[in-house]
Amino acid sequence: MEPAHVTLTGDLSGDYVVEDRRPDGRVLLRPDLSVKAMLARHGERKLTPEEFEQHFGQLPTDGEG
Amino acid sequence: MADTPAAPIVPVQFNEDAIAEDLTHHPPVARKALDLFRREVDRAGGLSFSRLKRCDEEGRDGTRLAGCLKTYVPWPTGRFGLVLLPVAHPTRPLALRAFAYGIRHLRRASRASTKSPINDTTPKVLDHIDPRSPMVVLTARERAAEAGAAALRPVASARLRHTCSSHGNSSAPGAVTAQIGGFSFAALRPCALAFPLRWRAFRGPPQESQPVGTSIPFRVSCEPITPSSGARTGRGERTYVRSVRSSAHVARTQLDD
Repeated sequence: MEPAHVTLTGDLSGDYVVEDRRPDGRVLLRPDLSVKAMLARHGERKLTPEEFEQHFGQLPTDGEG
Repeated sequence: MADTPAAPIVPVQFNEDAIAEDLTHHPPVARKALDLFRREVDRAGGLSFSRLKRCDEEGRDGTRLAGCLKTYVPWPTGRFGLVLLPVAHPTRPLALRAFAYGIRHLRRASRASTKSPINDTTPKVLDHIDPRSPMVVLTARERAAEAGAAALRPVASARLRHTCSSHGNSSAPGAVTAQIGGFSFAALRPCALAFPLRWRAFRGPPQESQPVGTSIPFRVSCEPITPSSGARTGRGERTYVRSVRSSAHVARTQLDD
């Protein structure tokens, strides 16, 4: 089951993931650090493989991962 | 002689939350190096293509960074690496979004070693794991020793291999703990997409005290990257062997869904 995501606005803002929902109604949140959330936060998207190849295909790799 | 044309510059933006999270798991020198790097980037208006490398689609230790780039911090021989995702925006030019920072995975061949592999008879540790679905890759404690983290020994590094992508939350942190025989391990470093988890023994006999040939079963429990995906556990067997290799050993463990 996917965790619940929330977007806060107000004194705190941004995308969060619900880490724990407690019986008394309290909710524990942590920042959503996923790439998906990162992109959504900034209105960005990943490049397509073709775009990546076009712009960066000539760059070397180093075999480190 | 004509000047060599300057390599193009691409703007860099930082995913501050993720980078801050990564920095909590590294020594102060990592932050200092990154601060200097960021000042350089600010001054230059971005990062030169000449300082970029493509990430492998799948790294030796299971990282999956297809479509990502990296740079070394500091350039060109720094021990830290910054992972960047090229991003497109409807109104802004192409940019790189930095989202992970940590210690590089230096290639073995690039490391200076005075040991002759065939003469190295130091007992080493190997983990023999069911390879059906490797989820965690453990590397031996040499990595920490090489990084100068002697205080952390005995230590191993681990990386969540498939968990991140399988839960669609590839750079989110997740706590990991493990018990290996009499040893209790806890993650010093939550998961990040690019850099390893680090485990530290808190109790139990030193690994070096185990006789060669000793095998002890172990279980690994892994708190999920996403809380609702459920804890994962794995089991395997750690065997102490006399190795003829001087390089770090790699072990894999299976984590059952």
